[in-house]
Amino acid sequence: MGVLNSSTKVCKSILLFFFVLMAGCYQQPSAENLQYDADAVEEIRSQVKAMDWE
Amino acid sequence: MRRLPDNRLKLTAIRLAACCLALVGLAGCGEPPQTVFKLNSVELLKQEKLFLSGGQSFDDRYSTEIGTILTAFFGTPDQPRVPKVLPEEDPAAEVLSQEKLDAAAGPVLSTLGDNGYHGKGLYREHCAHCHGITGDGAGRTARSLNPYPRDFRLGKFKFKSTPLRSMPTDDDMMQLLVKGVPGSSMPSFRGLLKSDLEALVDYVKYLTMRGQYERYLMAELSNLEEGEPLINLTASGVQDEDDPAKEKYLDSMFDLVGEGLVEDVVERWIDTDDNRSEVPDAPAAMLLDHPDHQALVDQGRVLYYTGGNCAQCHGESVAGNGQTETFDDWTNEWIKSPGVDPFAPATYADFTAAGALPPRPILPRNLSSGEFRGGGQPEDIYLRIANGIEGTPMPAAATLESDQIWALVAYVKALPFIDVDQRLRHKSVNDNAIAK
Repeated sequence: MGVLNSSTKVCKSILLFFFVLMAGCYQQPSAENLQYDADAVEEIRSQVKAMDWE
Repeated sequence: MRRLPDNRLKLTAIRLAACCLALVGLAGCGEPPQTVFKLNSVELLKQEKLFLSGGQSFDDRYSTEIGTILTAFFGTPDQPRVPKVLPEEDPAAEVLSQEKLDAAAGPVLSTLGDNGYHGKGLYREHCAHCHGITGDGAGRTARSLNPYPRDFRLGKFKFKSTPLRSMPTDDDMMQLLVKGVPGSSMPSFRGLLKSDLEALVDYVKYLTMRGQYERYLMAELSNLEEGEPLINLTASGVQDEDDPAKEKYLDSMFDLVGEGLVEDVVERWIDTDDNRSEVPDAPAAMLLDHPDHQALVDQGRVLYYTGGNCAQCHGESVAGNGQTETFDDWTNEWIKSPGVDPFAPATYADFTAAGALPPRPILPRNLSSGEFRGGGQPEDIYLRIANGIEGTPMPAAATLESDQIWALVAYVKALPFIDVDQRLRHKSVNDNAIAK
């Protein structure tokens, strides 16, 4: 009986651990991070400089 | 000394270990400091719903291409750039200062000086937790605030001295930072140095322009043919200007940069002071002890229920309960997408998953509270009535003369001192007068 009681408590503790862990890991939905191509960034900058806007 | 039984000792140890592990988990799972801009996924999803059929999505490379173009002109949160196009006399250089952007951007490095903060990373220190790194109004605290923090990317500002559809002046933005927005979570930043406030004003303008341009680029996606890039960089080297690829390259540069960035975005911020609305002098009867003051208040009361059409939204009791199921433009932007019902969460789950905050109806101001978000001075209220409030259902009072607007101002200023029964009696007196 005592063993059963003890293992129930162990199970409860483990469940509590996972619950707290999951609560901490929850992240609100959010937009994705902006991705960019660093080489193309430089290419655009140099092409804009070279453009004849007249 | 009593000893704990072995099995109890074990259990206590397990519990302690579980708590420690959970704490480590909490610390480890916390969102790391955000130092990147976010994609406007809500706008992209809206464009997909409007222009693609059968739940299709734009190719991921368009998100990257938009990110690349934005980064080319606006840089990153740590290294922002004034989006200059021309080598000299560039319009962007007229409205933004690189020095101020550098003071507002980057990680928080402010130090407390003799007379206030000396800024570096000011935006992240004071604004980002509500307005977000990207200025999307979705910072970490945003969800729990009502009203939600402003999303700058739409390019709309509520409280300003300029008419609808024009940008605010620098002074408008400065005033807002100094005074805060009563009745919202926006505090006053009166304690900051003027130079720091000016840096924040420029940085908010910068985030706004960047967001406006991002929206412009996303709107362009629907005009592209299958597989066509926004800018075909490889065609830039073609010498023959009659070559179709070269023509398309030049067209896209003029459309996306000349028109989209310079004309549609940057130039709207030039000389905003010239658009400032004049507030005519208030009539002498605005003074509380003037013999005609009560007559002016009475004139305003009649207008409230009749020509001003104020009761329709602000309510017959002026408690802001006339129209309670409308939304502001920041929400209307996406809830008007096909299939979305703002009162049925299941219809917009994909938008909230993309970062949209759950829609909340915008409530008209409770005029009996005496709290005015855009400022409680008579001139502030005059401007709100005359110009309307950008992004909200509050329209500009196009049909009212200035003396009528002043009468409404007098009535609105008097309202907190008139109890609700008396206000409703006013309403029935007006109804009888109209019926006659």
